Amino acid sequence: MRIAFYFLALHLTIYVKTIGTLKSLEEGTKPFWLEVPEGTIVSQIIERLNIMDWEVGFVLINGDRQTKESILKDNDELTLIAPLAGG
Amino acid sequence: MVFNFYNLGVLRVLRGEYIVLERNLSVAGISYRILQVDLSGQQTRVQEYGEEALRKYFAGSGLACSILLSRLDPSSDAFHPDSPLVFMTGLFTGVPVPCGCRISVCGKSPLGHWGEANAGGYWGPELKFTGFDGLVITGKAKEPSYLWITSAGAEIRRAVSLWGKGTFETTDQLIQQTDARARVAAIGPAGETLSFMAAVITGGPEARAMARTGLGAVMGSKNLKAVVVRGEKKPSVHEQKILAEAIRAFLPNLQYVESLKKFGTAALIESKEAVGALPIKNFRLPHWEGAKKISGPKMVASHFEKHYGCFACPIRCGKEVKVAAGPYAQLVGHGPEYETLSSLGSLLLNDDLKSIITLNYLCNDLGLDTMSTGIAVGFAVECFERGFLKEADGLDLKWGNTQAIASLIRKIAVRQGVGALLADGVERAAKALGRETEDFALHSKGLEVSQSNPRPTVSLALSWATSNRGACHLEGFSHQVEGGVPFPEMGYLKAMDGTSGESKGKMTALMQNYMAVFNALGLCKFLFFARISHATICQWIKGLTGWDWASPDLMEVGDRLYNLKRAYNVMLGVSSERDTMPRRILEILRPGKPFAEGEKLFLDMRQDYYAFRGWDEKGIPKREKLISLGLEEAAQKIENR
Repeated sequence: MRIAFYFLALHLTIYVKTIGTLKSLEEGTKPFWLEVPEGTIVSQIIERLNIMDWEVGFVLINGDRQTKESILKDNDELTLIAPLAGG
Repeated sequence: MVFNFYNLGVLRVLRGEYIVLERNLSVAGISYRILQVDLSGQQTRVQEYGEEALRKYFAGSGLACSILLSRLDPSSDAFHPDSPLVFMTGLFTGVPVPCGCRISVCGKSPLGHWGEANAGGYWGPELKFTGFDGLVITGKAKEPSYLWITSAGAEIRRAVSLWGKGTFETTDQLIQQTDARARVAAIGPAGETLSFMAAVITGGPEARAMARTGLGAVMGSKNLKAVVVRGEKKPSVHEQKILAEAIRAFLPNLQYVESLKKFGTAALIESKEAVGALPIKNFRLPHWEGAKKISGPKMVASHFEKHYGCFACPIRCGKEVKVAAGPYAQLVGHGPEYETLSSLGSLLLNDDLKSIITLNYLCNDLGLDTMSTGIAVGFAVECFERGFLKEADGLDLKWGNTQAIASLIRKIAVRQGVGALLADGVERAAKALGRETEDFALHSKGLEVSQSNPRPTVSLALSWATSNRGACHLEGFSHQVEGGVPFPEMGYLKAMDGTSGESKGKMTALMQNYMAVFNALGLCKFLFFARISHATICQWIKGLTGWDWASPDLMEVGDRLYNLKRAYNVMLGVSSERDTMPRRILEILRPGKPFAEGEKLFLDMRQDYYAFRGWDEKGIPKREKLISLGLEEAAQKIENR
């Protein structure tokens, strides 16, 4: 019970999608769930996924545009999108 | 950094070869010679210009504008024989710095204002190799003709048998008639029938297009089917060591454009769709499942033949593709870029990738601007759907009906039936159809909008509206800075709030100034996405010319060029009344809110923009602004107009 409480209290589960030409998407990447500590911000997820900061142009949380400094909540859907450079 | 993707030209500079100063000039890489061609009198002569003009305007569309403004007769029609058509290489065109490939064609657009189109490829460098920095073409040939330009001079030749042919066959035949290594810039039937959407196509099926503002029609009005160039004079550079070092230092930046190397601009489709920036169903929908089927990775997976690049390009964004069936079966040619995948795809709810490739071939062969053509087709389909267009020569103009779309495009190129209604663009078509069709005739100053929905980056609407050539993203690229592409020299390091108009006027003006510099330098704007610094550009300039330049100098030239083109437009009656956006675009700026909110956002941004630029409330550059930029002649012309 104590272990379960620990995870419920301090960890969040977020749903991550990468779109466009982020390097992880070269062959097409399926969305995935990720467990992160409470208080995690988007840029920490980007770092954890081993994506360079400049490779992410737009950040959507639950479909709305947000910044890389946004704090994530449990069950958020995070979409990372490459910069729209070129057109 | 590896060099295996570098073309020979760049390698040769890095190895210290390629350096022969041909003339005793303080600036190399430039011949200071412009070829004047009078098609009526069948005469050519060489005009020389000086270093002062080069320092003031660079070359490319900057120098072209200074020539065109000095010769401007506001009462003269774009199709009048005396109306000049100018092809001008940039300062770096043909010089093997990365992406030194661009050519500008400029003149009075049939749309009624400043006309300018730019392309990469090999035609511009080849023109530079003839020993002429540019061409000024006036008059009208008495029969269809083409220009054959070599290092030995220029010849006006008959092209009667080519009239009516597509650009692909024209290119093939002219190479056979001249030189296997010649480069061809040709118009297709659309240019011959004087469509305001007519392009000048270089490279045949590889199709690097000088597409915007209908200058293909100006060529057609002169009975000029093509300009064929073949040169031997390689440009030299002032200080090879400086140039080579500056190129080397820049190479790591190519990591930023990795996606353009892999997929070309087609890489953008899915990202644009995800943020609501992909134009869908004539800008009526924010999202669309079909985007996945027409994406860059999808195209590369299913139709890819090979990568190709322009002169001196390490990026090689071109993708040769082919389709198995249809009128262009087995033809290997230019894969549609982002703009075309959108204009002939998502905009029309067409998720059939093969058809987009075929429609792209068709437009290139007919010599049509794919961006304007897609908008014109979307306008026609919406008019048909909503009953504004009762009959379309029996075509079933429904969203995604690719057969009908192909037929309509052919009709536009030859001005037949409903095609004649659309051949001069959506502004003229909406005037003819009346009622509220102008609300969704998507243009500014008559030029159809490029393919981005300004919903997530509102500055794009301002950039379109104030663009000198009309609604084209390439004039400003402000939405890229808004979306997070850094512009550190001006203090823009992070993405901006794309829904707010605050401080967008200044940023848009600065980006427009900067992009004007790229056109004049003959450099591809992809270097901006590769985050080239002003310091690097200034080092390249120093290596090429010996000039000591800094970031403020670059930006001052950009400011000068933008105001010069604005002055040209003011002389043709352009003011705030033409710096507008149609109702549909203004609605998009504030989705779900009353129209007045989107309109206010736009007008507030425009007011800030005029103030930052030093223009009055009508959008006319103030005398003191022009004088401060050394544009006394422009100031005088505006005062006397």
